[in-house]
Amino acid sequence: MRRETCISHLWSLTNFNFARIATQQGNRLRLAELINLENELIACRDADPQQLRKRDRAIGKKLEQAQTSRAALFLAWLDELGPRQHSSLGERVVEAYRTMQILLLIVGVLAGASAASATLAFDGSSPVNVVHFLAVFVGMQTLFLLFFVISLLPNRIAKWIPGHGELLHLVRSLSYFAGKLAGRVAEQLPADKSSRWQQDWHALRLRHKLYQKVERWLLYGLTQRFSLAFNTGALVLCLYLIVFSDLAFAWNTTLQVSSQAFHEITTVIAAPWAAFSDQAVPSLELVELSRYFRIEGQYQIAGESARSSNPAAVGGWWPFLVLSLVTYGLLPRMLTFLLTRMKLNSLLKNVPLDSADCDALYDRLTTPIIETRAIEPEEPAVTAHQPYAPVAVQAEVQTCDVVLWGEIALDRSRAELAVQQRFGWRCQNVLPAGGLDAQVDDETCSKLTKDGQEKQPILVLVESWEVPNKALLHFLQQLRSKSTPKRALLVGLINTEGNGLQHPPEREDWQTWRETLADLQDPYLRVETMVVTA
Amino acid sequence: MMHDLPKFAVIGRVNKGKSSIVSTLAEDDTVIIDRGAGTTRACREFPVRIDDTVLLLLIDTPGFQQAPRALAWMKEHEVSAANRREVVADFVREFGHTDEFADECRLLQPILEGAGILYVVDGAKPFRRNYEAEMEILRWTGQPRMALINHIGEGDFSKEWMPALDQYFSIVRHFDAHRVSFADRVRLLQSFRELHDGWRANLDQAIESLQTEWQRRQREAAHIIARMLVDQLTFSKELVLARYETPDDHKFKLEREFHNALRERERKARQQIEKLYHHSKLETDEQDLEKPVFEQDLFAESTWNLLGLNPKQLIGLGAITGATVGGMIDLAVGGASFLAGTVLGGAIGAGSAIFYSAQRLATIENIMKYVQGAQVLRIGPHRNKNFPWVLLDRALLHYISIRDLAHSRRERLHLTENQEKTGLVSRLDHELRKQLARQFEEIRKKTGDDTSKELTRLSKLLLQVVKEI
Ligand SMILES: Nc1nc2c(ncn2[C@@H]2O[C@H](COP(=O)(O)OP(=O)(O)OP(=O)(O)O)[C@@H](O)[C@H]2O)c(=O)[nH]1
Ligand SMILES: [Mg+2]
Repeated sequence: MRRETCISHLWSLTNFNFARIATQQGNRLRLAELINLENELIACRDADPQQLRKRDRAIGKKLEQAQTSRAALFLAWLDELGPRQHSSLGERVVEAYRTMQILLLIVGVLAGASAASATLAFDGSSPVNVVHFLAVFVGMQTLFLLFFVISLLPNRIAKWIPGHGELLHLVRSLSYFAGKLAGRVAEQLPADKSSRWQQDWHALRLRHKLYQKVERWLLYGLTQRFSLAFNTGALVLCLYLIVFSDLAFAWNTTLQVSSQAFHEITTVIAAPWAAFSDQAVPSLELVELSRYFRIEGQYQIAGESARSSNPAAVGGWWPFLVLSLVTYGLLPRMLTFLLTRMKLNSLLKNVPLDSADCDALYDRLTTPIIETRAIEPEEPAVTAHQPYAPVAVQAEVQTCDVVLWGEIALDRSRAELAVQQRFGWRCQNVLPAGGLDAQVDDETCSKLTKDGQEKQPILVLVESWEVPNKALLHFLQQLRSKSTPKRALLVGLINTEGNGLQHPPEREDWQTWRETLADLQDPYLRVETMVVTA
Repeated sequence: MMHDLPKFAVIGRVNKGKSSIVSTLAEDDTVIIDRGAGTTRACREFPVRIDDTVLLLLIDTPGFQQAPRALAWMKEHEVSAANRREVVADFVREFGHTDEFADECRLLQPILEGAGILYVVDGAKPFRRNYEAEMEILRWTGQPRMALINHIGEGDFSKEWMPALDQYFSIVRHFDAHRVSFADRVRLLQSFRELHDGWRANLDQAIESLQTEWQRRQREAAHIIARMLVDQLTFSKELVLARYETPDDHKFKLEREFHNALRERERKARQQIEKLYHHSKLETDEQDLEKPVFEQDLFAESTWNLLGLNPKQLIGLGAITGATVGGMIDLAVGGASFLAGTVLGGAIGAGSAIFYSAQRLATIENIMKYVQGAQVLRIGPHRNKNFPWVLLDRALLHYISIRDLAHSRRERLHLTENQEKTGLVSRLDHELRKQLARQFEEIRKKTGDDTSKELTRLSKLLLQVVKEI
């Protein structure tokens, strides 16, 4: 608890909290959230799509009115999902990043200070060589700055710059080794921490596509912060030494550089502030006065005699040096630091949330779930039937009665012909049933059963493609109940489809008929197929 | 509000396809459909719910079994034309607890409770006057009603049916349970609007949601196919050999595993598409030969002969050169002639079948890893230039077969001859094809790396394709 407040206090002090600014605006993603979002989306890939839709649509409905942008919607979605085990990665990464920031800040200040104290080392025996100072704080810094600017250039331009490829290669190898090093460091941690760390690292390497661009700028942010700290440290130490010690400045190089030439160089360096301050531009006189040589192990300043008469001339380098440090070190780094921060903020604000996974999530959140299926499962139909095993019709039969069922497309003469062809029987009565008028059924039934023609079969001609409905079953049962149990009842299937009178009924139809009629459990009820030829 | 909920009872004689129509409309392939009579024995409700709000209710019912006898009873009990609905209600009260008119009572119940009537007939069978008994009873209920002419089988007797149906129903529509498209379903819902003013708002909302849902499915289908493609194009398998082993010890096994993994990925994607379109109960054909080409094995010769792009198209995309074709043919004929293949390759098309068949299977690469002193066998990613196109073709053919498959059908739909013979990708717009080709190349460069950017682009292209086919 204490540690946390302490850290967050440090934060606000150092103004690192771009994250907080972001949330205030509502629809900008914080880095942690971005990482978590990506992580959640990856988890979604392996989840059951139906369940995902249910879960996300329920959330989406809750958020429906409130959210305007995709980012805001996704943020709210993350919130609704609540803290989850695999979604804390973002927080951990940000925590690590912040620790890095502090570390780099401290290291930067220390490095800057020690660089300054090294270049300004003065023990009274030999003067401070201005050339060292300029090399470190103007030369190298400008070079690094140049690298940074080059790395910002788009690839297609940068590739024309000589050495760019090599530089890139160098950076890659460095980051490779940095990764390796990080791995090694992780191995030294206690086992549980180490494995967690490695998991996170792996997850990050694999899944950083949403924030790939952001990541690059996070890295820049770190380097710029470091440089800024470095320059600040250097400046503070410089000022300290200047104020609290008496520095004697001089210049010297192994190269043959005349005082004139060196004066020209310093004038160029001082060009940015020459207009404001004469004091901070070394005069030719100062340059000549403060040149020194090494002769026989002893340092000899050119104008040694003059120095004692005019100490300000030699100490007079300091405004120039301080301004060089500020102009070539501190100010540019402040600028680049601000630039990276602005860029980061705008990147986070405009993360393109249009990847396929994001689209899918957006769909899940915003499109209503439409369900049309039955809620209850259907009870399976009864498929077991009674066995079909009717008794054969007696051989001596000569005549039969015929029922034309259900307005079958067959007239009396063709029916008689069909019966003749199929069974060799003559038809006595040919009567209709199963039509629009149910009364006809009753009439037909009583006509066919009234004279007690027990030996004469009743043949009901039906269309084979119709199914045996209850009306027919009822009719057959009525026939049976009004005649004796052993009177032969036959159902003749005719395929009247098209000109199909000549075709036998289809197998499946025949099957259906037999199964259904077998369920009446009437052994004297048979199903026959009929073919009618012209 | 309950009384304003639009309800539609699907009514008709037994075995005329009521359950089929409900199954198709509700996209429910668990509805029991059978060629026997009286399959459906009780009413079943299919609520259309949007985010758990019920917008309308579809009701499957048992069929009319003995309408003429029921009508006879009703006529006997009719007092005046004004109270006919009461007579129907009396009928249900009278026989509701008996076996005699069990089906009729059950099917009339929802109508008496306010459901609109969708009366289903089979237009492939001739009209008979006894159907008028059912229609008359339905008229007596006084509920809004429309007729749907289904077609079970070949014949067409709709001309005979029309005059009768017109007498009893305010709207008559054709609706083929087995062959309706999404547009047909929407049109049907639109005609429901005409039945009763009070139902319109709900119906409009349902129609709109259905359309949104349909588009969502297109997007998801494109995404599924894109993921499958990215996955397949970047998939490879490695095996580290022990010191005493030679590549030949594992070659066959590794190749088989690699190709099986590709097949499995394809199958998974298909399952996802089927689930997306609510087809969970598809039966698979056993015989490979009778299947349409997209159902045959991914690496079968016939697949590669019929699907994907032809050499000319591949050359047009800059994917291969004429000489490659020649080289392939040389390879296929065993390098018998140094020049013959190249000449043939020039006369593209002539050897296209050979071209496709060659190298449709990926082969092993040996990689020496001296650092660890081990030898690594690697297979994949599949390099054949036609591979993504064959995959895409199969995915698209499967996709449309599922998209267009009515839920009343339980066998896999076979496409028309024409689609089978040529596939779809060879007929895509050239510009689209070029963009796809570029994405495929990008993806193939990406082996092992993250491909989410390519996935996103490919999804978008495929959405275009999916919308067009
Ligand atoms: N070819 C074809 N067959 C169909 C079509 N619609 C229904 N069928 C077939 O007709 C038969 C009966 O279909 P169901 O949907 O069970 O009919 P139903 O009216 O619900 O039957 P019951 O519940 O018994 O009253 C089945 O064998 C279906 O496959 C269609 O549009 N085309
Ligand atoms: Mg049914």
